[in-house]
Amino acid sequence: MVEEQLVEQLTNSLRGLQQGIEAKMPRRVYVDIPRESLLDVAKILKDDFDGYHISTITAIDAGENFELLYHIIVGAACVTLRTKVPRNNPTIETLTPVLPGAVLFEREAHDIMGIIFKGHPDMRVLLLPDSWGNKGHPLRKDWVDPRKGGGQ
Amino acid sequence: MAKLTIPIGPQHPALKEPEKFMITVEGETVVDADVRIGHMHRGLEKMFENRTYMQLIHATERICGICSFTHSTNFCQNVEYILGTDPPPRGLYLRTIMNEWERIHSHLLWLGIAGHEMGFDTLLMWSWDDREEILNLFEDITGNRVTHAYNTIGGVRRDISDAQIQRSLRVHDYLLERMDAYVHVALNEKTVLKRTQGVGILTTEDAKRLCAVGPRLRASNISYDVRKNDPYAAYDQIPWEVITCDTLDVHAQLVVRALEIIEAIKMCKYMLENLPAGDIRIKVPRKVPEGEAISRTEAPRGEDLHYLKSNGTDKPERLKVRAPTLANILNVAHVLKGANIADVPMIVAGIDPCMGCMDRVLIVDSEKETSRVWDREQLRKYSIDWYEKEAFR
Amino acid sequence: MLEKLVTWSRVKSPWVLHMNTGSCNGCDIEIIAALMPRFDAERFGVLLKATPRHADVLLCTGAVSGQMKDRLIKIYEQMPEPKFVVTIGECAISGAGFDGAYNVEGGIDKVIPVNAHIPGCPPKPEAILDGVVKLLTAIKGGD
Repeated sequence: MVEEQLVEQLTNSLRGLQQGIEAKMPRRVYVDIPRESLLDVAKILKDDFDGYHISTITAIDAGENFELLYHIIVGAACVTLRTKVPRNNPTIETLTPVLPGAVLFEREAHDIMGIIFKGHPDMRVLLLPDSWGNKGHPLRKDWVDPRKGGGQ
Repeated sequence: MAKLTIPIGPQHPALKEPEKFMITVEGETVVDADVRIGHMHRGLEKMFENRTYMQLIHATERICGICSFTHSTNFCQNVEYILGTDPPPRGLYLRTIMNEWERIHSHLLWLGIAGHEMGFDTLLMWSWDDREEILNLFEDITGNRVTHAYNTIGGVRRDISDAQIQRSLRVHDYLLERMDAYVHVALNEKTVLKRTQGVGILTTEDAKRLCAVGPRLRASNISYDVRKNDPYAAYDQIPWEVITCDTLDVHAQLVVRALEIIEAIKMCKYMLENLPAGDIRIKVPRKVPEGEAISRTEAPRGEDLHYLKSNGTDKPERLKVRAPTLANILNVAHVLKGANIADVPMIVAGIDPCMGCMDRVLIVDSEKETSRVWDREQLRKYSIDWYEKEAFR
Repeated sequence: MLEKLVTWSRVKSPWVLHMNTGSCNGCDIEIIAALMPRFDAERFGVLLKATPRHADVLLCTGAVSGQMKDRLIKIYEQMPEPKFVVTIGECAISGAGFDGAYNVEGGIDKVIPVNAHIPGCPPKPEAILDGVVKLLTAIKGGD
């Protein structure tokens, strides 16, 4: 119910910014977007749908690409913006001008997956220890623990 | 006036999670606050990718020892969503009861720690003593006090007997009686009011902007609760109210939490009295088909989100966990700015700026932008000198 | 004679410092629960201190995370001699379920010497009390 309504409303409001939109489960909507239109979509969600709350950003290593999932809460539903960044150039515009709450989640994604958020106000290490140095980004699938012979 | 940067943490006995706050003060007022987390980062999300789903129930419970049941509920729900199965009603009710008991024990724990921070140790002793009653119930029904191993994919692992229900109901009546005393303390006790009223005000707009969650959000007068807005388990089948408070300060959080305990006790009583008959779990396959799911629960500290992506084997492709505290750190750092240094422990409730346990202080001279590292003795000497100068001025 | 007095006072009032080196909080709340009215470790003279400089016993919980490793050594070195280290919970003993994770160094004994282990996930307050009493008995015996 709520998700079908939302899919319809989102399709109308986004006007082609999305590449795909579906409701997989009750109250869960997934929107595929190119990485250029992330800020625009987030702005529409915030202004027109009261989607001010970003729950988190999930970064997934999907082989050639990194998938970034922005979980934004719209009323009762959780709208997930799915975007892809290429592995050899993992950069994306920061979401912080639209949703300031994303600041820590972007730092987290930077730490563990090495995504670079352009224009982020404060890109220091968040989770990894100060002594981590350049041991790499541990959540990448090809990352091997330096203690077990890996290293970058 | 020279700005002084004081590191608070990461090690402190009252600190449950080692976080490091760098507080810059000008005189008595905090002008800037910065937070460094990651002291307890263990690399769980990487580890999750090498565990089977059955092992992960065990592992997700150990994300946090206080809200252990919420995390395992979240994980089990995600797997159930992908499998497309629904646990039987009795299993869902038992899961909901455990979630609410966890809320009661966690809020009582917080009440005690808040009491300790405001120098009201009697409250700490009382609330932790009453908390033992709930832990006894946990031990009675699940077999363990803190990590319960009660959840499983497709339901819960142990049934509850009629005798256990009767025992539990007696405890709930006792706690309900005790809560009257706590609410009276929260609303009338002078120590509590002096230390919490008007302290750490987070406006409704800021709470929205900074994505606050849980009791902090509801204390900022926003009626949002995952249990109500995005119901899971049996929360849509039982009567209950979302608690909000419009005074926006730490006192509002105290009131919200105290009233939430009462609400939780009433919910549990209702559920225990109206427990549906039948199975408590269903059998599920060991392998999970390819898919993805998002599960949200209302942990005692706020919204807890898990994202699970499966790849058709018995191990997940990715399991992402966003615990509520990460979302709330941002607004704590915001509220600290402009606060009095004596209010810092109340705002960070649970973190005590015990300068005695810090062995050194980083001095950042705002004019020269140089930093000097002082040890405690030098800081003491500096403060004495400063006050002497003040006295003769 | 003086030595006897010192040992006696140490056994009668061991001051402890609790340190979370990367645990899930489960053991930490059980330590606090052991000190609270229901179990009341304070009746044995156990007192939770805020600073390592006052502490006789260091209670460690959790596997050592990368960020806490240096901090743990620092805290250990700040404690006055003789010092005793007690690990609480499985993770502090060996890393348990977290062993092998990229930011986990392993058990406490990989970083600092340990006097006693209290197993359990988390150990019940009774078990913590039992462990503390056993340590005190060992100190009394002239260890």
